[in-house]
Amino acid sequence: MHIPDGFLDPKTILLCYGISAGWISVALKRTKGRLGEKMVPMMGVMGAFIFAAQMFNFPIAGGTSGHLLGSFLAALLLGVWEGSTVMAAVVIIQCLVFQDGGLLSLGANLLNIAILGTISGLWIVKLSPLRNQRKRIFLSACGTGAWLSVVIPAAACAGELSLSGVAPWKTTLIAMTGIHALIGAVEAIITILIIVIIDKIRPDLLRISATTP
Amino acid sequence: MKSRRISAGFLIALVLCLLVSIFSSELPDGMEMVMEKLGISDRQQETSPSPDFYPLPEYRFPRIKSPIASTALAALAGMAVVFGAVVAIGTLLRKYKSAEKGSSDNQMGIKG
Repeated sequence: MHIPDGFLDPKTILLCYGISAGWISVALKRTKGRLGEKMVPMMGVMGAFIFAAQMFNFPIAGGTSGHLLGSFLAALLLGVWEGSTVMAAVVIIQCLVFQDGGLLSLGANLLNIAILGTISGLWIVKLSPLRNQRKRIFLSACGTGAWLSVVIPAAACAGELSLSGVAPWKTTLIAMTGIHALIGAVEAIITILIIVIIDKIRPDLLRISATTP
Repeated sequence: MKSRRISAGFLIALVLCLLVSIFSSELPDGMEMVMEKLGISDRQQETSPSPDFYPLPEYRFPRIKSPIASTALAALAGMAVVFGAVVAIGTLLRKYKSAEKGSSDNQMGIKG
């Protein structure tokens, strides 16, 4: 869901760049001095994995494809601020090196993928009664969170397009959330699978995220 | 033990890149489909700076004819660049900590 150039108007471009720049500077400030020794390589591996996963498009319905976003997984395993930092690095490199998403719409893509993607689903898992409780509840919370982490950025994307005046908001919103509800379901399934695997081989990684605020 | 883990990680990365280049779908993604439906997809400015600006445009390694090899190499390069960039940022963020601790221990004490 990387928005190319040519769709956003100056007001939306500035607004999105402003929000993203503000958020990322807060994220860098918050992570500064808090990173443990093991966190740095883990963030790197996470970023590389998410980059590759985002390249993998799976056919979804009606001649459309989707790909894993990974923002929720990053936020869950690393924490919101660290997750945002990793996702921002991925989105910026996709834009500058791979021509995925426009330069002018980079602010919007950061807002959708690196910011909204990381915060829109995590709160469900962070609701304390669900944390460290029965595994089934934890996993379904993760699934819901992963689903939201795709659908809410898609809705934001529709909002940005209609704020720019290139598309009517109602049709865009329905179309964007509709197709991304399906893509989000795949995101949820893959995310749950990954968490189950991590829980089997490196359960300590899940505990790291449970202790960070 | 550590080198074993690193080579295992590298192997997983290689397999991932091959999987991506062989099986990834060429269909338009969710947003492209919506833009086509709305009839606004022609607004897209393919290359706002110059095509040469991007090292690996469209996730393809230029000058390599085989699409699978070209995509797999681009994926591998991308993973390496992302890993390097994130580790560099992380290392810098960690360095700030030790610098701050050394110069302003008192402040840290009050905060903590």
